[in-house]
Amino acid sequence: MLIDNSSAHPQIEQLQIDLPRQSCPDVSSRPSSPTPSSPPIIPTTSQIPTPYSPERDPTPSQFPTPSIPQTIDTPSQIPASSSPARMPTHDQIPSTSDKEPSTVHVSNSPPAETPNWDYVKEAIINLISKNKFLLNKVTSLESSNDFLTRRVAALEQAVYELKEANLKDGNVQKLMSTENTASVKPTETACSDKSSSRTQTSKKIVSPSSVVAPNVVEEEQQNIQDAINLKTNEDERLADKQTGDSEEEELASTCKSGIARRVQLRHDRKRKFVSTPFTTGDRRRKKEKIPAKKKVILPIAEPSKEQVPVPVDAAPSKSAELLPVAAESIEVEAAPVEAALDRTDELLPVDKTPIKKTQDDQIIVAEIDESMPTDPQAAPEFIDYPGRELISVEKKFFIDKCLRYLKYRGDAIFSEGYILICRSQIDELLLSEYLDNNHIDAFAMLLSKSNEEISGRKQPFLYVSSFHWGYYHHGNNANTAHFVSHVTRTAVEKVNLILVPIIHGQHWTLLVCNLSQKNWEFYDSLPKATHKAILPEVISHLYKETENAYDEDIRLWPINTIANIPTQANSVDCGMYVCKYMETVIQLEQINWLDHTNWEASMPIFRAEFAYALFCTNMDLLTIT
Amino acid sequence: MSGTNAGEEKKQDQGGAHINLKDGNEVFFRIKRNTQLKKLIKAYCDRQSVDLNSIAFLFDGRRLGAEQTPDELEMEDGDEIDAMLHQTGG
Repeated sequence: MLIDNSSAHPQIEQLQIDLPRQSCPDVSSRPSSPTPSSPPIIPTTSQIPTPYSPERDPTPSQFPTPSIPQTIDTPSQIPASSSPARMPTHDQIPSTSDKEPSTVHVSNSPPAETPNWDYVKEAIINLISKNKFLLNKVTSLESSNDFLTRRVAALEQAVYELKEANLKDGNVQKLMSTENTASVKPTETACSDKSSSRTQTSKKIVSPSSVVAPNVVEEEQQNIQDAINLKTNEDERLADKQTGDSEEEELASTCKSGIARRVQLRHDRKRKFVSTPFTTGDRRRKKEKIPAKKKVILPIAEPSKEQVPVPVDAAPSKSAELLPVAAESIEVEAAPVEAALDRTDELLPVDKTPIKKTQDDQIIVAEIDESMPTDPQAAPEFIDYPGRELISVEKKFFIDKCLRYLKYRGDAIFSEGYILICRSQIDELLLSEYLDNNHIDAFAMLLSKSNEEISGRKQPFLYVSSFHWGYYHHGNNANTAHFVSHVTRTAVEKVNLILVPIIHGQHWTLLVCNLSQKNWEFYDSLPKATHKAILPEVISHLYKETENAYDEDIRLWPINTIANIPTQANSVDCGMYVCKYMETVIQLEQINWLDHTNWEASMPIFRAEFAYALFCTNMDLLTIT
Repeated sequence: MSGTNAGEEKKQDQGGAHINLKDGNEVFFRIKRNTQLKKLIKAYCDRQSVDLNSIAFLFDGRRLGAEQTPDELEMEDGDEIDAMLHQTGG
């Protein structure tokens, strides 16, 4: 009760932190007084454990949490704990409010394990099958990982080689410049900078020089030096005239060798050039592309540059006019020499467009803009879908977690062949909207996958995507053969059923070819004669492209509309009904459709479980924490 | 499906590839061989005013990944890509 505030204060604070973890406020506990800082927590008559009691934690015999009898008591203590006076009365349990929720949680778990062996068995089977699936996935991922590492290594090698090549180029460039004008290094470098910037802004000027260069350079080195100096001055003057800005004149004259200034100037010059009436759109594009390539070629062109200024200097005021003319004449010269590479770039599009136009008058040519933003559309973090409260807690949490993780509508979840399920489609699925081809195909894919993993539990079947007929039906002489490339004679011999979902007029129906009974079964969740009308067309299209797979002409088999099947009461669930029909018809047992009556109410559950199954196929989602 | 039929033709020059859209007529897009196809897909969807995720682009019967490039798919000049609008139903 009576303890110096000064000493007790820190102790008690520490104590409060320790309490939840503390095993037992045991004999060693000392009386302590409430401190002004924490009056509500420490009762007036309390016996509070000493600060050094945590040291005793490790002794297991004193640890209350594992022992069930004690924890079972705890629920009754919850209300008591709120009143501070109770706290010390329990010797064994330091009943702080922090402690109790955890003990309650522990105490709840044992009753849940009360043996419902069927359930346990089923759970174990589920786990085993899931485990098997995951193992398969792991092996496949490992193999793909191997492949990717090899690829990365190859790419790194390529990058390294490119770097080496770049270095070499740089060295060659340096070497050349030093060789040409050994004594005047600084000016030379300045000149090379200049010329490079020059070429970028107007390659036309450079290209002539490049042609003339080799001969001239060899003639006289000394002249060249002079020319360099001259040239730098002239270049600046030229630039100034083009920009027509007195300020820039000052700039240029003050910093002859300033690369940064040159780059600045270059922009303006460039703009000037682009806007001249002689430069066409094509050329502009060329210019933008070329710099990278040009730079490599430049070293050769450099020296010649020095000779060019003289004529340009002669009529500096006309330079702007001269440029285009020069450009044209130069292009002819330069093309065979060094610009061959660039030429291909320039010419190809020009060549090809006209060719296309001769093929088809209606052709529109559109350029893909590289800089075009492709911002992903954000998807809601949380969806309160109808089935959310109807599925198991584990599934609910997993779906919520996945939805949080997949932030964008375009995030892919399931991808196989032509099937792609992305986030937006999951939203449609969960929110009881229409299903599209991908949903149905993905569902069938999951069915056949589970069939492969555990064979013999379901009937083997073949699946033909709704794209097959739908795409054909839409016209355009579409090639749909790849949708039935798996329907071969050997494959057909192994199965009893061919499932053919059909979407027509925004309604999903299911057509099943029963190979053993030699008939067609038609499942329609919204029975209507018009839905049946298209079947002959569907069947004949299927037969046309898989003719060799059958012994008989399947077009002659009778079509039975299955009666008494569950049907929909709303106008959105037909896709899900088709999924459930498929799931049901591949069962081994004789189907009694009267057993399946309550589908309508369960649709939200089916949808949520379908979404759950889709999420489970994605390794990334399974591993998120 | 109720979709369009888009054929794409790839150009093999350093930069260009061409797409050819067929829904009665054809449209060629130019795309670099190392550009991700999502640019192309988006351009097509913008042109057709349809949602990005509502169209399936198939090349040789396989779905095109948005991150893939013509180079990765080893597309050649004259190859065609089918664009299919998903059909929904209920």
